[in-house]
Amino acid sequence: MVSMEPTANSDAELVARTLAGDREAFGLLYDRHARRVRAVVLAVSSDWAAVDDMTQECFLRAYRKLATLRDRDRFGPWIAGFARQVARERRRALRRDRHEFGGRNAELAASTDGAQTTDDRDQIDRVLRRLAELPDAERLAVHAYYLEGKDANQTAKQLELSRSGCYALLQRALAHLATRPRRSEVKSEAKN
Amino acid sequence: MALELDGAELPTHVDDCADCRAKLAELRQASDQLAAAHADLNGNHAASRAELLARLPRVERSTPSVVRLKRVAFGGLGLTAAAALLLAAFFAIASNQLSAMERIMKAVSDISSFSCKLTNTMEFPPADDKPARTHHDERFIYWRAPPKPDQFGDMHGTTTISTVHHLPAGDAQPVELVDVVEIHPSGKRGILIDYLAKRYFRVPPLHASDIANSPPLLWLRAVREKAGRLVEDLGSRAIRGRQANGYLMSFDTIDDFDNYEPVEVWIDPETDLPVEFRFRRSPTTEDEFTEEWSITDIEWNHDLDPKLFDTTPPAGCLDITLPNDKRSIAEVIAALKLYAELSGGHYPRVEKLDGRNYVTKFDAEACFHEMLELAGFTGPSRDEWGDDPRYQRIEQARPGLDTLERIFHNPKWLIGYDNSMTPEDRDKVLLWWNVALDSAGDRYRLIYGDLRTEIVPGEEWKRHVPPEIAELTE
Repeated sequence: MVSMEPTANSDAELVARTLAGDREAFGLLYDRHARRVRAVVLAVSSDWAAVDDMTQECFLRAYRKLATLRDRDRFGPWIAGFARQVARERRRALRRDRHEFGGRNAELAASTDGAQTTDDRDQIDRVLRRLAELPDAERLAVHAYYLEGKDANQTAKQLELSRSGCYALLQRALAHLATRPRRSEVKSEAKN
Repeated sequence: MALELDGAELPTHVDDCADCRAKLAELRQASDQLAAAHADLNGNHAASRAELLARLPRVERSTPSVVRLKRVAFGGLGLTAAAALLLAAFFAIASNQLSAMERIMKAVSDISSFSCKLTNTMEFPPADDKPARTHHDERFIYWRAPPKPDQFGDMHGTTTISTVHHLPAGDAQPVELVDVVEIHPSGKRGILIDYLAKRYFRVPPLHASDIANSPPLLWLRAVREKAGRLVEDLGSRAIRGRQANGYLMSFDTIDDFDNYEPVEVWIDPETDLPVEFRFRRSPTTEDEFTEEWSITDIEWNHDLDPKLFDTTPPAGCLDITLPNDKRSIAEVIAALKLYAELSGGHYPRVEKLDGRNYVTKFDAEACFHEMLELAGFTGPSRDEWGDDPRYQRIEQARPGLDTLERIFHNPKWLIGYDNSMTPEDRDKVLLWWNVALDSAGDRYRLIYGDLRTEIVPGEEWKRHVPPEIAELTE
């Protein structure tokens, strides 16, 4: 089983080894930064079904351009730039109404747990729809936090925030998400 | 709060406050739902990792690319980019889309005209003490098929470029940098009109092979040489009331298109012609610019007003066409030679100005009077001067001085002058200008300090100019 924990080698060392032909070094960079990339592509595109594809595309582009990276210790923020770029392309390609977002993601959520009831899926659907409407920073914080297995320290590090700054973002996001259904949501569901 | 935050303290009155308990329950529920939604996303990590590493040997790694300066559209041939680019997508063939692409290519080969809007936006990050800024370039292009296959066709294009600086206190007002129209009738000399500077110049006829060497034309060249690949079917959407099928086409295996993202193309299924397409260039480092192109409002095979291709210059605009005829060259040299004689071995001083691209000032009339003074004709003009052979020689230098004034109205990448040159400087260049912007490649007229003159190719010319000037043409 491949560990997702960071090794003692710095990003700069792993980049140098990759450029020297060591593919496993790039695999270690992937282990270290894949969650961050997933969080960013989700935050920008809100396309849950394509997270794996987008993540892989980010790393392929980064590998292709690796020789142009000047500050090798900044691999993380650098690949986050690719993540935003890939996600924007995806979002542009989707051409769908935002209200469809919840339906697609409800299918994804439902597929992960056969024991979920229809009500559970509807509620997840509603939460994800609201998530898509949050400000970018809050949305990124939420994705990063849950992808890091609710590790607040790792999340803060990934977002390059202080721990208290990270908490503040997450608390705001959760407060928005936990609000009772708006009238428009109830009407929309009744219509469907 | 609902987050499992070690060390966090929950409000102590939760046990006694129903509202807070209810709120806490809502937050925990939202958190659990989010956790459920994210649960599976990390689960495929190992498989994804293995797939990624397996693909790496097939991915070419690029070496750092040099950022190229982009010439302002006033050079003119940049507008051929739009026509060329419209053809670019049609050469991208994927093995599973041959029939669709073949239909598109056939449709393109039958076109008689098109018009479109082309926009380009460049975002520059802040640098040193300069704020971030945005360049916005907007063009409208009209094209008619040529009567002969070696011609490019009738072309009319308008270009406006503006820039806005993103200041800490808020955006500055947009500044208009360029407002140009260029017209190229098939097989005839074209004209470029700069409405801001109220100047125009004539250019040689375009040929089918004329393509400006700047993006996005690099796309076209590489597409024609090595087809791109279809990476995604984007489905369909309505564009201006018509359904269009979308495709994402990638050129990422082609070195010339470093940093360019896949092209998004939308095709009208009834005509197999594109109605819209877009692409981006993204930076690889933090200090590079991003660039986005879009070609929209494309209309094919409709009648275009013949007046679009009329090259009559507007009233009030100065002709700054660079000379290349023997008579004009001889007149310029004669004027310079006479000035050097009268001044005791110097050439006219040309003032260098700041501002846009017109960095030199030469006043033919002022130079004429200076020469009269040097020859001893001082004070108010007298009729008897006309009988003096020396005065007559200076009068005969007027056409050369007028031509010099016209030359010095051109932008700095088309002309150059060295105030320090004297008639003793045999192998150094006093004055140069570009004589052709056509498929023969850049050529330059050189006039040396001793007034010898010749036309040389661009590579030869670069040895005589400062590096920063030579780079402007790359």
